[in-house]
Amino acid sequence: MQLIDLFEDVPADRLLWAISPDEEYTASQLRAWCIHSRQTLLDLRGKKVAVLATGDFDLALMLLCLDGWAESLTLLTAGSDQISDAICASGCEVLLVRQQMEFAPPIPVRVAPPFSLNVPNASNEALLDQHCRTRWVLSSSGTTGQPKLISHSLSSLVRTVSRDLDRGSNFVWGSLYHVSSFAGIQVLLQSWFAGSKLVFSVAGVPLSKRIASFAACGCNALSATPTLWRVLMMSDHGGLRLRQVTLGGEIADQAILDALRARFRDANLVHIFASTEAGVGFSVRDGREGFPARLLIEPPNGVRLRVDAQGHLWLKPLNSDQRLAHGKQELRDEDGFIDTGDVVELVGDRYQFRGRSTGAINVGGRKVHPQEVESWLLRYPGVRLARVSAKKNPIMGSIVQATVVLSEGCDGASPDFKSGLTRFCREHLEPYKIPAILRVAESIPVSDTGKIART
Amino acid sequence: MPNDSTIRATIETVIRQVADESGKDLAADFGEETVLLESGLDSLDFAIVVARLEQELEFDPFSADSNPWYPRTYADLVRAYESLGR
Repeated sequence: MQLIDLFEDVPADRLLWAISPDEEYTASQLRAWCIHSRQTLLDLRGKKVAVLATGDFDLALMLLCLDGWAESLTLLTAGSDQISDAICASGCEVLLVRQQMEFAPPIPVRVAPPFSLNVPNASNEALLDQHCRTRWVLSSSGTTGQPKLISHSLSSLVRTVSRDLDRGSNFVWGSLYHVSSFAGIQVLLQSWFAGSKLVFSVAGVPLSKRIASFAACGCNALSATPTLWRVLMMSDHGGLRLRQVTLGGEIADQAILDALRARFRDANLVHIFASTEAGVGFSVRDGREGFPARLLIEPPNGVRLRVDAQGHLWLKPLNSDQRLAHGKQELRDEDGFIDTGDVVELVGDRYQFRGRSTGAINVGGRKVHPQEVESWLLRYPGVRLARVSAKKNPIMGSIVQATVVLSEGCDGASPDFKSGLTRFCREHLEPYKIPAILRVAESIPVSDTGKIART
Repeated sequence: MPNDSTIRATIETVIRQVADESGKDLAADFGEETVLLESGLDSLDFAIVVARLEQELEFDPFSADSNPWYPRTYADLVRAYESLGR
């Protein structure tokens, strides 16, 4: 199975990808471009290729061309400072980009052909034959902040995807996630195999303009993190008429579910649980936060769920074959379950999400490791102990808060101390990692093992 | 319970404080009808504003509200706090 198999089933004039109402492309146009670009990238056949593009449409074109063509595709995230590390860890042989990069990657670079409707040599049908069962390698931020590479097959990524092309013709998806993320891939594949039109975002365009462009292209299905939905509800979204509202990537709280239900009354409201490690998990459709406890005995779509004594949620996906791209660490236990790292608690007849087992804080979809922030706080003169934790927030889901214990003689009550410490954090940490709330305390609980207590 | 004018003054002080800390300039015409996310501050800044206001005023209208909604303009934001502060 490869992405371009869709061309055999979908009507040639079906609009599949769009950037704006004036730039919409049919199946036959994408097919012709695909033959042309494979011709141009003949030497990448059977290679391990890393792909990097700022624009989602460009990245999607690379995936369309190389799936079934390259041995593996490693999706790099533009703007990440760990690109070189990820390239080395992935064992890729060549990096495919749309524009020459400013940095010098450790492997040879190829520049992908630009998208064009006037392509020569589009008649060489043999180029559409599948050459490889391409592995898709996606990165997930590991507990130490180093990216963890997880390799998937296309068939396991599309396991739950509907392929009803008639039904698919009624939906137009908007792409709000970066295509290089696991959630972005899900939206791309879901819309693709259902034969639905997908409207891409243009990099750097503000959310309100993207939403306006989606509305102009007839978008009626959107997937976003709860934080992005909250931002959307705080923005002008007048033109959007949604039939499908999907939330993922963070804990969906009742407030955002209720607000979306009130705003998009006729839409299917779905919050999905999936992760780069566990792959496609399950979805909840009743509009209530958390998930019904009965899913532990009635596996949704064949995905088995287990909650261990520590409250960790484990998943056993049906027929999935994802694995760590490198390293000896095993992703699964002996029964085939994968630890999602999410902590859940049974409240009545539902499990509610309580955060990450590592203590990682999810600030609007971006992970913060408390230890990293604590290590900077401890470097500031006068700070003796520091504890960083999540504070629930109605806009970002969670924000970072810190409690510090000071050395004797240090005046924590003075406004200069707090503003100095905040300024110091700003010099060393990205904005979403800086403690939004800073408290000075006499002591901080320490566990039996001498570590800062995390719960 | 703080009165309306105290609430409004507190909200404005906190917004200016957060803008200052983030090194951002509030829109020159910042006022009642300013759309929050076009005011010069982003969603993370407003997340901080709401968290600080919870500390200052000891309530958070967005978590307490049984009829959830999200403020679009500065006037919406102030109204949310004033209606719960009464």
